[in-house]
Amino acid sequence: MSKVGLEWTTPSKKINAQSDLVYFKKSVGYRKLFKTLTLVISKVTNVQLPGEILDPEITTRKKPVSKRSLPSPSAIVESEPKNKLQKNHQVRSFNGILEILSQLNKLIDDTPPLAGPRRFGNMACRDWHDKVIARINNLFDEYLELPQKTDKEGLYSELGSYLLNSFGSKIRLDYGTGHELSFLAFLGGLFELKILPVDLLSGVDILTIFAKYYDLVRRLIIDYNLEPAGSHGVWGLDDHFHLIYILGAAQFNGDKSAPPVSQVLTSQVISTYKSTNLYVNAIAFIYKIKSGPFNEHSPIIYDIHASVVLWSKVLQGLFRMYEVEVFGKFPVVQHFYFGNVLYTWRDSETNRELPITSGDELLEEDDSPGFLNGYQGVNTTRSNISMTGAPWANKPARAIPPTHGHIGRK
Amino acid sequence: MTVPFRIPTTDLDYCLEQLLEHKPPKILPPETIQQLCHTLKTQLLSVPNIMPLQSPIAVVGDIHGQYHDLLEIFQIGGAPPTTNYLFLGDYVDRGYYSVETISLLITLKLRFPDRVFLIRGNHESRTITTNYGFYSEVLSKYNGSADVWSYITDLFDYLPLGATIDGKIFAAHGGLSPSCQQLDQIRALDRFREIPHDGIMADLVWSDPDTEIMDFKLSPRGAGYLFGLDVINKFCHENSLVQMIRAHQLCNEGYTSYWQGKCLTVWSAPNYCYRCGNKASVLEILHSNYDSKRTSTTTSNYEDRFDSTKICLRQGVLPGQFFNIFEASPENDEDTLKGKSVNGINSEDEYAVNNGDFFSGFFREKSRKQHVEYFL
Repeated sequence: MSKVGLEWTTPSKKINAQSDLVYFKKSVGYRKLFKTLTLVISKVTNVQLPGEILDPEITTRKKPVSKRSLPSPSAIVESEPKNKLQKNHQVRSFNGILEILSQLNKLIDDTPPLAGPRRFGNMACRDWHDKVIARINNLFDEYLELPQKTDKEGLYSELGSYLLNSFGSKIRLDYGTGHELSFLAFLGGLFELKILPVDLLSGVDILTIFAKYYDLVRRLIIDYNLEPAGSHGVWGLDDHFHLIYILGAAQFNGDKSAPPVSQVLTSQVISTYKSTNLYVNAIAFIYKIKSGPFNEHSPIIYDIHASVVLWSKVLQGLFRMYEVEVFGKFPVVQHFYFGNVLYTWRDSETNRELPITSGDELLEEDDSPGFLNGYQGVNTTRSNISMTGAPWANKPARAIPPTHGHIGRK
Repeated sequence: MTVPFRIPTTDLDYCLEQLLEHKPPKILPPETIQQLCHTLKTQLLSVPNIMPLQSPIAVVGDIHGQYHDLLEIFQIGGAPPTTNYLFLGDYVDRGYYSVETISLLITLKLRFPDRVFLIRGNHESRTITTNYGFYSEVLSKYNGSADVWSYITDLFDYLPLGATIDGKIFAAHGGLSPSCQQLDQIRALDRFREIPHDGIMADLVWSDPDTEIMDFKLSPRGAGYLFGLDVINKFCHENSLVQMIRAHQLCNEGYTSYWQGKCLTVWSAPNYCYRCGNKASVLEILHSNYDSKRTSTTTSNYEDRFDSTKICLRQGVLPGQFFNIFEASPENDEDTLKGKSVNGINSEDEYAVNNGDFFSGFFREKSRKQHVEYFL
């Protein structure tokens, strides 16, 4: 495909029904996502993060430290500057991406959660989203090096939509593996457009980008109480993430100094590796937000560590699971949108446009009243997961049946 | 007329022992579950959609597979048959012990049929349990077989939709329906089916009260409605009721009172999903004599606990009612692996692997789990 005269478009919804998953698997969009995923895995295999990239505060509980306990290694790391970036990477856009993520992080400081306990996701998160939407093109302008002779606006709207979607749903105030996938898509777009020439990036570079992304998202989850998108309760791998475990397992894959799989849930391994390995870091985050026996609140992860021995098997298993639980699940990928240049709804073999299941009434479902969280937060809890939504909630608008005049307004 | 089957008391006691005297509880074999469900179905056939119950009774809200918190309820409120219980639904999904929770409730219902009453919540449904965890849990605990899920979700179709207490209080899982003005309209429903997407039966398990409105409004859940003050006043008036009691919504304090106790929410899953940090409660209803002054001769120990006027003011309940509040057990307030804290609290660690903890044995005993197959 030539890069000259690209017809950019704002990505739109193409997966409207369960049956569209067959087309999805054939699409250029899917092939590209898959390619990016395998590329990223190979880049980060047997690579560890430098200790100062991840923010230890994100994964450590804020509790009055008991007098008995000694200062933990994480407390020592904490005193170092948080945003110690590689200032002079040869790829300018690499620093640029980190800078953008850091700016978005600062926007959270500028958009404090609304006071008082709230039942649903904090409404301030919608303000944060609005600020990001308003600023994103300027940030791209300032920090990214674009290919020459590009229709900048078009590129921004197609590529940018994947970044915007990677911070969770502004409407439903939730975050899940679909949003995580969207960030992978954004990164894949940067690779494809050579804004980030992948050959010039090391595994550490890629891990650094993900680390900053995950720290940002988890700050959003905590500060704004984002709900797990479509939670299977304890019977999902994790309330919010999946890719992070794949990346972390790849990091340990082939690493002779990696901890034994069976030991990963112990405090020793957690404190030793949570700043250098994304898998351990993700588990530290679970320990932070959940209380109670680990085997109850996270039985799948618990079982992995009770029954799998090799990191290569962990990686393989998580990857297979990703194909089934993320790429293979309509509720997840229905929110993945397709554009005209990057992730297209075209047959990857014939390059023909794939069919679209007619579903005019479903097209705007993201904005219809079928979301889980209402517009008003109701005074109830510290965390979320509050309300079960009907799985058929994306149906066309419902009406209130007539009440035969029994109910009168005052 | 169907003559209900009976399961010998000793067999039921054996099931209770399996569930109650082991930690973690032992799950019942599929054939046992099948027989329990079948027997209970035949008994529920003759139970009306709205069960007429009497005080004193304890009303329990959502449990969502939080088995140990259910046991905590029996600790603080008394165990059946000494205390009567009305459970308002949402026994399964989200938590780790949905199988054990529903197994225990089914067994208790069969063992003490006049002391334990179960109604249907929105999670007692095939669609919802497929999406919110119970189905996955059954596959995981029963070696990849969904049989137990089928037996139990088939039983769900037989659960009544509501109850009245002393004819004055109406209890259901969710709330009111714009299609229903009379209790008799509920009584006339054919309830022996999957919960439909809309209509009275759906609204009863899906709706929520809303103090901001007077009338009905669409619910942001995508099913059921929000109902306001005029709706509940009208409904109570038409049906000679004083109050509606329901569950269905997480409450930070374990309960919520709307409109000076006209409507109460009772929530019985503390620290919901291991991360919400909320309290939970059981609503104890002693009587429903609202007009008679308490006479000194009837003062019992029990009633001394309830300085009625104070509690009414503080909790927004009617006389004779009391929200018994409880929290997650202290050990559930830490991040633990095999009882040991891991990340953040009590960070000095003396963790030893393979310390013979029964949880590890519990998992090893089980043959291959569904999700583990990804990793083979």
